[in-house]
Amino acid sequence: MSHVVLRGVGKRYPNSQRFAVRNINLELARGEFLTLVGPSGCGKSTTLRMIAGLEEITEGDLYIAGRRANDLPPKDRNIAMVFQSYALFPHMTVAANIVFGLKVKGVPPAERQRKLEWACELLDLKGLEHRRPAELSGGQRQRVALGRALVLEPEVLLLDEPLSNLDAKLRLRMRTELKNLHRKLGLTVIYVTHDQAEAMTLSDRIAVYDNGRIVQVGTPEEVYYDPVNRFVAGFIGAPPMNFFDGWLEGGAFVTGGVRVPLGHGLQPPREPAGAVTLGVRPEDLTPVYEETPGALPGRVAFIERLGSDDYLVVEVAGILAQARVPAGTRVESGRPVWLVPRPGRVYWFAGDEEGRRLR
Amino acid sequence: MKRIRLGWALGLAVALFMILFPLYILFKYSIADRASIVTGGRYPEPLWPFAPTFEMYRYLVSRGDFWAAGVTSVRIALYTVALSLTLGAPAAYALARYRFAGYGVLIFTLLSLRLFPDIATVIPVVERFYKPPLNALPVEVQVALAHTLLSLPYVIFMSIGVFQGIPKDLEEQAAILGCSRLYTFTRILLPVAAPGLAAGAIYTFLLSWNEFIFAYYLTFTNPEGATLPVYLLRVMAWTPQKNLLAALAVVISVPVILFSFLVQKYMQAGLTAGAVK
Repeated sequence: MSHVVLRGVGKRYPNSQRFAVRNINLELARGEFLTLVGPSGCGKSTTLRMIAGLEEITEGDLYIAGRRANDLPPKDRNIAMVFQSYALFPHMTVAANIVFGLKVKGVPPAERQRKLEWACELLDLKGLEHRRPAELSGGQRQRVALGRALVLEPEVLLLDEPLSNLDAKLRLRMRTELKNLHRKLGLTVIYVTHDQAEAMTLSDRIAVYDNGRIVQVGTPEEVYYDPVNRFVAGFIGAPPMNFFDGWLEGGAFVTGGVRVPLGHGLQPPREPAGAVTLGVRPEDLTPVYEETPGALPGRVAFIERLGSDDYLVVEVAGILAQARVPAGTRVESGRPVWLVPRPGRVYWFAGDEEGRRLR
Repeated sequence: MKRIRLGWALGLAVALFMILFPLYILFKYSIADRASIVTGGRYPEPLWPFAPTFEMYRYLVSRGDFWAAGVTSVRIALYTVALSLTLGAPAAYALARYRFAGYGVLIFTLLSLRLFPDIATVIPVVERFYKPPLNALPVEVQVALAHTLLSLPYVIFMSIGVFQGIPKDLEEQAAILGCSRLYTFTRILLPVAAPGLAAGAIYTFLLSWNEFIFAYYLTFTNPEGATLPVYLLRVMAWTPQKNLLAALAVVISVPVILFSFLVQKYMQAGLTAGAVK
């Protein structure tokens, strides 16, 4: 049996008609790093809190390490959690914070000391043991919170947006450190974030949430290269995928009054379709400056410079689309341009609200 | 800009004057010699005594009944603080964390206890203390209980805000780490709330220390339990000199200032600093 199993798990709050999350099915292998990702209010934190035992499970079953955990109090689930706010105890020193859980569980002092030293070594907290949380930097607080969780040697480590309170630079560093820790300790981790970049870089697998449901579970490559619907395609990847709403008609894609003959890179879906959305990622669009079959015609609006890459912003049929270009590219705005999609990297979605992927 | 500052300074000066002038008068009288207060209308009272003396203080300190009343007052005030916080802090925590039917009514009822003037409630309350089982309690405990009745609504009301200011994450983290609710309350919440609760403690100490009516009625058949305000009345009963009364008034104020300074140490800013973010 998998290490953590959620089977048809749902949550409805006592004075609400609607389920906040429903029909959550997930299985985690031991040592796996799974990320729950989605926009705020999509139910990913609720799922995590149900696993932690901070929210009651309304329906479905939760198994942790082979035991049904639905009705176990948090302390008996063999989990540890790091909150977005870190939730350090402000009146205790770093050392007292880290060993607090061990003390409550009645671990003898010698053992506590050993674990404390192990954690401080691992998380680079040596020399800070006697400080209080208020005297620490954001990154240090983050590491204390991690240490407090790790010394418990939990079956599952739950992380609720642990990096979102850090500044951009520190966030990147802690991201690397987290990945490293996961590898070194073989931890089973469930990680909640709204940042798709964190999900992509950290995870073995990603569960993408939308509106209280999981819409896709897969490896980072799977959700990136093989999204099941328009929402996943748009949520994963930065800058986001370009979308063009239109319809297929007589061997052409019509969008905003522009008729683009199909062919070359622009192959239609095999299944029949009328109203569709065309999706192409910025790195899969190449600008050329003469009329080309199967290319989307437009005019250069401006260039967004990121340093390592530049993005050419092109107005296509009233929509601003982005195409990745080599850094330092110079084009005057207003110049006619044709965007050539890379063969095999063109996505079609149903033109309705659900936006199912058409293959 | 300048005019605003001038206005502020003026306001501050007036406020300071209003606070300090009576204190000055009080202190001046307490160290006055006889000629400085008994002028017989032949010359105005001096701004500073002709021959300052601590004679009245020496006299007070030499009296056994003064010391007895002082010790009683301190003890009753400390009992009251302990009782108010022991009862008030858990109540405030429950009111801060849980919403239930009748919540608003309960809060209003709590505060409305203090809408009645003390003089109106003293008789029914004291009557209870004259009857069993409360009359079996030591008189100091009786007075402390009565004072707790007065302070508790305020203590609860002030402490609700304190507990609401503590992030829920701390409790949830404690639960995950294996703490029971009681352990979380005593080891995590109370220490974090302490600076905020200290304000309630100061208020309660002051209230008990100053309180007169309940203490008077409860101790009137039992002079052993007389607090300093009651003692002050007894001294006034034989119309003593102004300077003795002033000295007594100054002495009564001192412990309040001491207690406030002591507890204020805990009232630093940033009570949950470092807990979150």
